[in-house]
Amino acid sequence: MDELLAVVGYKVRSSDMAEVAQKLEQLEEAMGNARDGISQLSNDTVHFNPADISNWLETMINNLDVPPPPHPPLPQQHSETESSTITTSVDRAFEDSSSSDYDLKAIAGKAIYTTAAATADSLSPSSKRVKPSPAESSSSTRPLVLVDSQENGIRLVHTLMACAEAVHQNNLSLAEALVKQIGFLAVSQVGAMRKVATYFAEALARRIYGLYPENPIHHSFSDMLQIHFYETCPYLKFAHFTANQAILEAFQGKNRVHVIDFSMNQGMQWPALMQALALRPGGPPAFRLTGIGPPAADNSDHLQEVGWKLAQLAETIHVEFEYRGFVANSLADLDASMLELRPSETEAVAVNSVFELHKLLARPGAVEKVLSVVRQIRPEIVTVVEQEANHNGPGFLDRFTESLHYYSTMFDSLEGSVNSQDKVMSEVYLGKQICNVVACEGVDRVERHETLGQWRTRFGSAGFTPVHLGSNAFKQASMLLALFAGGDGYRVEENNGCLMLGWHTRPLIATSAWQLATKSVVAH
Amino acid sequence: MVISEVSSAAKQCYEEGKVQNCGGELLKKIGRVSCPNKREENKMEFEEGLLAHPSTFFLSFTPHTLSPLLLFFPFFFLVAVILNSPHLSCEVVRACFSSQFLTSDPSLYLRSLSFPIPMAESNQLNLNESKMVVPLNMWVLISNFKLAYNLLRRPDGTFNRDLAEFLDRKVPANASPVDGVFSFDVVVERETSLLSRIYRPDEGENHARTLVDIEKPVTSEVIPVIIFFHGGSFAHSSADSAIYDTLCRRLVGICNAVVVSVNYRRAPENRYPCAYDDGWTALQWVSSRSWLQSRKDKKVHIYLAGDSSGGNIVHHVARKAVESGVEVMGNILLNPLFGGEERTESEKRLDGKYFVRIQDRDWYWRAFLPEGENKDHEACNPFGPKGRSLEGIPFPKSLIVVAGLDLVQDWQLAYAKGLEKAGQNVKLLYLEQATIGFYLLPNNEHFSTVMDEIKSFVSSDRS
Repeated sequence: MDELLAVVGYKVRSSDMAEVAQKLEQLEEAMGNARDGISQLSNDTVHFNPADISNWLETMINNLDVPPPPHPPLPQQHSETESSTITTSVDRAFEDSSSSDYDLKAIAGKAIYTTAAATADSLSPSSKRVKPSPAESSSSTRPLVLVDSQENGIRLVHTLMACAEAVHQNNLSLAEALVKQIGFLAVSQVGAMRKVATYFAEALARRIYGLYPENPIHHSFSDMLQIHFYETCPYLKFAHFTANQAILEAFQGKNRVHVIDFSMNQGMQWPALMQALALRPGGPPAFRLTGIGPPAADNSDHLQEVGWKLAQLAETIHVEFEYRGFVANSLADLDASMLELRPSETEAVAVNSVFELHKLLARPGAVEKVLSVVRQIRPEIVTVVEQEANHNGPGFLDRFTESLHYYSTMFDSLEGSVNSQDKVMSEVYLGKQICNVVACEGVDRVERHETLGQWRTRFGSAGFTPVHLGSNAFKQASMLLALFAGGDGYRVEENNGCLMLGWHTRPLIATSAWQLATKSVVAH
Repeated sequence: MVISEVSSAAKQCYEEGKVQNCGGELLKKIGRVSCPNKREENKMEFEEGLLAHPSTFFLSFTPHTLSPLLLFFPFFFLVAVILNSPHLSCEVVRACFSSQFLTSDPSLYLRSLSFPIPMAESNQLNLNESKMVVPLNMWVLISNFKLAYNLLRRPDGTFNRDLAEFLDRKVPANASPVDGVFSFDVVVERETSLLSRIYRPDEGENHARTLVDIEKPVTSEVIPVIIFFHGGSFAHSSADSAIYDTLCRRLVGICNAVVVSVNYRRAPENRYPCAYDDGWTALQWVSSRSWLQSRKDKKVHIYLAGDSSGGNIVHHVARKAVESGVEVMGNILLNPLFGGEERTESEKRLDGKYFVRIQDRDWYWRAFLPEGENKDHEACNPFGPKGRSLEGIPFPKSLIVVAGLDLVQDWQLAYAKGLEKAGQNVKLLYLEQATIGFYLLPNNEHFSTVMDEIKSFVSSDRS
């Protein structure tokens, strides 16, 4: 890779530089010649992964149906067999839906998939693994966003850090003294800092006094917390929206579709997808949903209740609907055989996981098992949304520091929202995560968030390749934010084919999509 | 004989003013600057260079159609050229062997040269001209931006902001030091969501900063704080764009300064004076940070710097600062964006030749200036008919960098002249062969020249 370009965000191999230059010239000329070239490329074309300049240019050139350059191609020095970019051109002929419902609308226009895994440097003839780029595997970046400097907050943070350090060094009497001081200092603070400090102090206290895990809470309470979180801030909406967009695109042209949801909860993700499927030109497919969740404390079959509600919705929008709820203590308890899969010629499958996979990291081997089960399912697409943070490092102090910064930004972002009841509930929802990260250990510590870079490596090793989310999903997510964000500062960002939502410049959650590695080479 | 035919053909091309072939730029220079007393030196350099990279140097002088033939006669051809071109300039010779032209892979250079140029397509010609003066990867970078930007500007004056944000390569701040620099973002004003990215030298501590120590007071007796306004013609880029994050980091390292990069509001959604207001807000914020004060005099030593639209913002924010009694120690303007209603010679001469067209410039001014205003508005043309005099005003000293291949250079030079006439302290750095964006990558001599100048500019009050 050309190092200087890599530093400014572009991936171009040095040996490809002249070829890329040629494409730039070719495209410039084509844009000048095509009647509506620029407007077409700007409004209709779906763009993917702009860091990969060569492929980006290639898709636009193909989009403009440019004839090959008039002069014979220049002798190439590098091996031609490596440039295995295979494009499948999908002509999206359907019109824009007239619905003003912004929940989901696949933007009409030509979408070109350059199945990104086919970029030369990530595919070797024998193995189909995606090599992680060196920059991503490093987890030592610490993005910090402060809201103006509150000089008096420093003492509070300082005491928090000192307490965490005391805990880390097992100096519990010092830690205890400091924890009491935090409570005292927090009272005189205002805003997000006070709340964050209070939750972290409580978590530290639990750790010091050994009061973990907390009493298990009734699922209806935790569901309610999540609903409030959903209402207050855009994180869950964004997660659902971007995952649904990828699923919708993967289900194009399929008549029977099956979604396996690892994160069923209240099923809030599915009404929007079902509506989008209902509005599909040519009619909706038959929609089957398998919802997986933990057992309810009171043994009630809440998964089935959720299924019922969705069935009622399906009826009103005339979508053929089938549902199965599946109770499992852990996703690792699942086997593909349990899921009643049908032959892939008849039914296309999507596997969806929103903020669930990281919990598997509490048990060795669990995530690998689950990913191998997912492979057996042979899905069209796997959509994954995770917190964008490393809260799973081996050292307690590092985990504490990372999560302190992460949740500070989270709480800062909530400050802008208006409804105080929703806001408090959201803070409690986040507070539970804080408690788990700080106070728990071993199998109890389930909030083991890892970064997109780390998940990329994991999925790559498990035999998956990325499915890129494009500019259409980006644009719609941005519109969603503008309408429903409930505050300022939220931002969507594109990251090598994945989309991230953050507050200002700090990404907080990341959506990625995956397919089986063997699917990536499709000749047309 | 083939060789002499070629060389006289080359000469003829020059005389007719035709610059058809790949080596056209070089041919144009023949006769422009003559160093007759250096002819022997030239010849030796030629021969040395030839032996180093015979095919590459050779091809720069030949019409492409003849190149296969002449490949067999490099040395003789060279001698023939020398003999036929007594005015071959030192600059040409040096240019040929400078890192700009020779890459480690001669075949790369070959390919970049032998790109065919149909006569009728002046566009192709222009593309090749710009390719001659910047390293290939820089050409790719800037051309890629140019192409993306073409997609974003709509004829009706609106801007495809979503696609712009999708395409822009961004990097988060990093409180862990990398190459001696760490950074963090601050929401300076919540109401307007005004954010700035602050870059600090690590000073050898080599650990990730936390909320506790991120705003630890600077330890130096004197440390410049450079408030940086990124470019993008008022519409593109952000403080967290990768190109500007990289540039700011380099500034920290080279100048041993703190850099504050302001994420000002952009056009066309936010027209004049939003960018200036944000700049002023950021300046006031920086000025009031006790942790940025140099220990010597307990004051923040503020410099304003910016490229393209950022350079324009520097001027206007400096003006506001002076009028409000906030001290700014110096202004640094890199290829600043100024203009006016008049069409200048440089605009006509360089239109479309080095990545930029006049019509694009006009679009951006229309997007930034208040509706109904023209380019003689004070924002665009501070020394124009609607400008206000700077005479008698304690304006900061200015370092103005002008790229010789930037089509707005006449306006930039007029700005420098205007400052001079108003009795202000101005240093002008004119880089003849530089294009826009030369400072985005460090692999050219202009970069180091400019960085050295900036370093001494902000260090003049250091003991």
